Amino acid sequence: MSYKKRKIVNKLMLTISVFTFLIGAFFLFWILGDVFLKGARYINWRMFIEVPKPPGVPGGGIGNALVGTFILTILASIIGVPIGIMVGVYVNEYGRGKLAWWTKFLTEVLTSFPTIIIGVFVYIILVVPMKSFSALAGGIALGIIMLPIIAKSADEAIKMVPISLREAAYALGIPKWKTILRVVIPSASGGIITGIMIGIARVMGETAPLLFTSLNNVYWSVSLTKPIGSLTVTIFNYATSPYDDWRNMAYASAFILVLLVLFLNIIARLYAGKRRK
Amino acid sequence: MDKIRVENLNAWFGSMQVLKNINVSLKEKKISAIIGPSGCGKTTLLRCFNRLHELVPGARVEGKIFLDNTNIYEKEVDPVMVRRRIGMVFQRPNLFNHMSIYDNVIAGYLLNNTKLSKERKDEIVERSLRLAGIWEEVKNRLRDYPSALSGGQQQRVCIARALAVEPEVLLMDEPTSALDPISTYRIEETIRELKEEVTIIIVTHNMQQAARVSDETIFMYMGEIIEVGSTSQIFTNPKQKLTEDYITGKFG
Repeated sequence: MSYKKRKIVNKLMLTISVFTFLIGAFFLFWILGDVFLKGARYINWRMFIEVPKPPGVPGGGIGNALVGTFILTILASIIGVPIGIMVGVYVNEYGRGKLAWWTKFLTEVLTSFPTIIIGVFVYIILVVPMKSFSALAGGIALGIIMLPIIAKSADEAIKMVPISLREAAYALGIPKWKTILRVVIPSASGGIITGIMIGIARVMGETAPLLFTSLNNVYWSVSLTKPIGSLTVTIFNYATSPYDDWRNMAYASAFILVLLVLFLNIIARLYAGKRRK
Repeated sequence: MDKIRVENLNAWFGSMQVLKNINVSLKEKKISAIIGPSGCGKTTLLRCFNRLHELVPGARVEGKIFLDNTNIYEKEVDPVMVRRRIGMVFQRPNLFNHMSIYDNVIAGYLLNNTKLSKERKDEIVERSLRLAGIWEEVKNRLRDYPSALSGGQQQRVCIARALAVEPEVLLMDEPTSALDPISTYRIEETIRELKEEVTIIIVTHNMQQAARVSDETIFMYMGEIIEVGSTSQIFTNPKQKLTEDYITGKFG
């Protein structure tokens, strides 16, 4: 191929890749812009400390839903983070052969598992016997969703820790479990923390599994055995309502949720970038 | 006085045998060098002394290695305990990057949760860094992270880290192969000074280095020991043709 021809092909490919990037970026910014334009102006400080009011009544907020999302995320993290890290440790440090392979494979499957089915599953094993929707059930459902995300990032981060560091610890007479706890996991902490943040951002945006588990609560609640409000279910209810003021509230809530998730993602990226240096 | 005695040692990676019927004794408080061409099994032999070889997936060892008079491959011997008595310095510096230089030196205690007083820690850190010949260079930056040091400095901190737990034997796997001549010179000086303290076994690619630092030399070829003798004898008057060919550079 001549020099001229190569240059043309190069230009062409570059144009195509920039174009495809623009398509992706276009929709992202459209959504962000739409949510911002329609949501930002309805945001006020009372929103954060009040509970929803009936349609037509001025004021009202999503304070309960913010607290709910916070509690659900904490519950999910309590389940997802430690188990996820342990799975990552297992497949790298202990798992040999078939069981480790299956663990990895099933983790992949779980990552792309429809979350609504996880919701139905928790509904059957927890909500039905307890005869009540509950924050606990919601937290567990989100925990199951979070688990494979963290397991995968922990697996990848631990894989990056060079063998030579483990051998350095072994050669000093450090037992394997202490080496994992005090050398391998700290060395992989950058990747693990990034994974945790992405996992949190992911479950904060889940709606479907919550409809079967924590449902919704328009009052203040911190009880784990009662239904609890959340940003996503609140958005779902408001956005599908026929009342204008509720729909505006949905946009405002969506804007807050997008900001939260975006913020977590950016922190995760910055953190990962810093660690790589 | 023999510190280590190897009897009928065989080692494999999967189905490939890398050590064949090794029998050798190593003298206490002497420096023994293991030389030989790439792939001759010298690093594997070294890694058998502290039971590191068996940690590689698929690797296997058979035979006996006596440390003083205990066979370290006996069933009831805990490899962790063996490694506390036999320290190791690797080919490339492998300090713990998430720990300060100070903490790296006492990592053997720290990671094992051994409680030490502040004074005792300071004492161990200074003594070990002095032994490794790097105290003057790092004494004002002990709280820095290892990434702030050059490769040669890092390698000497690795030596300090290995010495801090007061091992009886120090294994060195081509400790200068990744370093420049000045760092190499410093580390060789360190090795010579350490002879008073510990038994040293050094694997090296560099024959001049073996000649410079060691008292005894072991020549290996294709997983077997060809010749063992005092360094001066091996380098001036080798008994085997193969040894002579190797040290005169006919192959290698």
